[in-house]
Amino acid sequence: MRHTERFFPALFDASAPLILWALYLFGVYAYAAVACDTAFAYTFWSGYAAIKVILLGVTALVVIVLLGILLRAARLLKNSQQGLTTFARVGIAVLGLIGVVWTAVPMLLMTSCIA
Amino acid sequence: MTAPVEATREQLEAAMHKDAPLPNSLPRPAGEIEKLRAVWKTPKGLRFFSSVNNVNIGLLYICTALLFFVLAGILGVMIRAQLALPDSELIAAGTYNQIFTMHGTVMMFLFAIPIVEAIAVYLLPGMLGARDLPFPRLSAYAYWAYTIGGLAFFCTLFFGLAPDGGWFMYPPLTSKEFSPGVNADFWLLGIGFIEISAIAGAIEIIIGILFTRAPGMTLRRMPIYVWSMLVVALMIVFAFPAIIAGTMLLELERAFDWPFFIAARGGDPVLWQHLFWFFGHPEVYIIFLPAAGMVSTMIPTIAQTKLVGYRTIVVALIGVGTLSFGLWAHHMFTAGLGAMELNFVSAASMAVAIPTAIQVFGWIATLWRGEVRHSTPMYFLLGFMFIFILGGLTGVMVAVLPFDWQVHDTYFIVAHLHYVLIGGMVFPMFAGLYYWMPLINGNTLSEKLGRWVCGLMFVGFNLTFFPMHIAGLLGMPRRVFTYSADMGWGLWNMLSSIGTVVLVVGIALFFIDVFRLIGKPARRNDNPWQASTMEWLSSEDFSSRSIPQVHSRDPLWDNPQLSKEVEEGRHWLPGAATGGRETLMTSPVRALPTHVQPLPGDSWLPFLAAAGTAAFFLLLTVELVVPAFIGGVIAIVAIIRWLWQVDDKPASELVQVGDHIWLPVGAVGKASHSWWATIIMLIVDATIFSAMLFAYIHVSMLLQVCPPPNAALPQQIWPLLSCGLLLAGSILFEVMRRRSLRMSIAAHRAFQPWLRAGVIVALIFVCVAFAAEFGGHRQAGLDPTAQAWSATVAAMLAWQGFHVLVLALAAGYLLARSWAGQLTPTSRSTFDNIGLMWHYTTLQGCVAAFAVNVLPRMMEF
Repeated sequence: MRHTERFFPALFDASAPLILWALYLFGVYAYAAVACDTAFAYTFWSGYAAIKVILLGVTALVVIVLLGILLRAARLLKNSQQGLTTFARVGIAVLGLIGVVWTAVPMLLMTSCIA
Repeated sequence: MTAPVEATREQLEAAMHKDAPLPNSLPRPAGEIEKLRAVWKTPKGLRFFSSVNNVNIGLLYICTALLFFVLAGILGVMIRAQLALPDSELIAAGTYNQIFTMHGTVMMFLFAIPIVEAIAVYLLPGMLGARDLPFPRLSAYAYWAYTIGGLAFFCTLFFGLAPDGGWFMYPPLTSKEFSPGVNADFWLLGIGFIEISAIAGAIEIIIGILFTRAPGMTLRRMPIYVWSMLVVALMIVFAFPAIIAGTMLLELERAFDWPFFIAARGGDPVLWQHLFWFFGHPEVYIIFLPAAGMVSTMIPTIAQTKLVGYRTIVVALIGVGTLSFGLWAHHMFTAGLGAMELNFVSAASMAVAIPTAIQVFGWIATLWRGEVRHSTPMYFLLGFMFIFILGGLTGVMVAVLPFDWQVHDTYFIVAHLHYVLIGGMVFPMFAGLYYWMPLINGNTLSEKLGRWVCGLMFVGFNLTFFPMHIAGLLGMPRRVFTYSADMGWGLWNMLSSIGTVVLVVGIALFFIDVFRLIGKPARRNDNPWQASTMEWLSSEDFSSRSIPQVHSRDPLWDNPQLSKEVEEGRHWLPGAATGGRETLMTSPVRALPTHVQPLPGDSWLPFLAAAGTAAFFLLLTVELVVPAFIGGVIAIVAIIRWLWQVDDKPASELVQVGDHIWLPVGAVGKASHSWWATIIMLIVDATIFSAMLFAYIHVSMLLQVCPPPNAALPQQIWPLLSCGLLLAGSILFEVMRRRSLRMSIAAHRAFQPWLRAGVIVALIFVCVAFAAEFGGHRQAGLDPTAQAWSATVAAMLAWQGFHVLVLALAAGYLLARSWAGQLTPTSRSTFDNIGLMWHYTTLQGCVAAFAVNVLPRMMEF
């Protein structure tokens, strides 16, 4: 009997918040590494470091996406059986959200590229 | 009698229902069990080493990993003997460098990772209810590659040729200039080779877990240890390629003067650190998570209650597995990275404590809820929690940047890493050895002696490693071979050395007990701990007589009759239906039976292939080129012979697995396990290439102008021609493959000459594509020794060339199978899998061409 189950797409879908966190971390890391090495490091917008504004903007965007994923997962959990995958979606979304918010804390504490 | 018909999904679901009768009825046909035993019989004498089934390979694997634990432990004792007193001259400085390098390397690469996979190879089929893992010969190959390579690597110590640059081999110390001998080369080639063996094991584990679970073992009924191994195997797939790429680049630098890591020529030593720690940090969790899985399996048994927070712990495992990849740079806090980047990684390092703590709270809650039985595994688990939590706390401390700047490269870090690794892995491993030892010959290790072992190890460990925190805070740097008496480190070092003696006595007592147990007559394993998981159903070479139907997460607790039913043959596939070795394959989510997969039997081929591969790598290191290539040819011939045997047309199309249930034998396309294994292998391949691409981008970003002044890009026609030809080759191959899918057997046979011609033309396209790319760079004057940018371009080009060579071999193999009439609609895995490799090579070639030719032009803007 040939099965029709799609394990990897389901795994990818459930893990999306953590993958998003990983992309976010690598993204902000790489962006900070490159941008802090250029003249852009000394650019200010309304008194705020431009790099920091961009990083916070990206963070806000990612947090909104993660909140959306979390809401969808919570709704699924509420409306369906309390299975492993529906529960895991919520748990992983919470972990992803904590990861992004926590990773972003240094942006609030640091003034610019140089602490 | 009606002809057998393949079972439908509805029939299977009905047969798997909780209230349905068992799949097979009694009495069973005469001779069924005898035939099963004969098929799976382990050969005697020297031929034992040709056996490939998971029980034998798993045991050999565990024993070898423990041997390396002892050998590396002896090196650790030598280190402590040297450091016990100030101004010691017991060991010369150069020898000491080799000893501490080998201690770390052997512990990490030859003990910690292999034993994790070894235990999984041994336990998983039993836990999953499978007869064996899906690629037994791959397991055997991985084992022999590791053993032969590992032993040869260790023996370099006796000739003064052992690596001496520390277990993470940072350049420029390990560059040709500062490490001119072959010592570092042994590390680079030996470790790269052993990593390949680890990846082979990971592919085996992933496919085994996804496709060989017992019917009804859905994802939410999977034992937590199986979950942990699935996460770990996926981590290996993404983490290990970085070190393989790193070792290749450093070896290319050492052998051919391609200056990837030489700052004066545009390279960057920090690049090595990125590549190494992108593997090295997840590796810590690759070692810890299986141990955590073992702990989550043992604690419910010891407390005789279900695991608290199963679903949360699964989420935590996935969380740790992912978050661990974001922590690589926390080993590089003093490497000069930017302040913002450091803080991001520091925050991520603290975040990983959350999912880790979820597991710890789950264990504590389970112990709290149950009735804890005092036993040696329990004591080891308590020791583990105490030590690991301390290691975790110091981990949070060193995640704080200013603290890390103070203690970086001091004995504080040595203490921290031993608390994490010994606490997080060695103590659970000992608990596991005590717990699962009855599976070997039915006997348990001595409880009385076990408590002594645990007590001595616990006291010895803390006495050895706790003082190192203080020595580190007092400023003692790691890796110094001696110190002056007036530094004030003498007392702490003496305490550490005394602790080592206590630790060694504890470990020695354990081995004495193991030898005592091996001498005892074998008895039937009677599940002495009253565990709930299925590895306790039997300890035969084929796991259990029939493959159990699973209805819960704790099958042995929820169905006390399960063991009897399984042994009577009342569950699935109670005999050797195909007449040979086989296992039942199931779907990855709901574990619905899909087909019966014949498994290859015992053979010397994996051993020969591994010996040949090891010879190739090791002999090349000492520049014995001709014998090295003879080894390489032996390996290739053995692998081709082995592959030739495993894609045969099945003897029968359907076999009976239940009273009224017939399933097909083997599968093709996406239903085939080999198709998925090839996909995972290509993910590994793509990750290696991504690491090279990262090296190229990293080096490019260091430049003021790209390409640098003494380098140039090829004319645009060459990469365009190359990509066009690669795409044409792939399309032609795919057209051939798809056409052959839709044909009857007779038409398929008639199509073979066309198919062969198509494959030859497609191969010509690929070769010409590579020639165009290579020629374009030659014309542009590419000189990999000139500076790092050219070296990274040449490395990607060489990697693509290697793929073209592999495709040429694969195409030759495909043609040979076609000529031999072995390419049929039911035995076409070779064709499908080579197709995947073909398309990957096209994709990689186009991405490399884009990166080299387009990115520098984009950077101009």
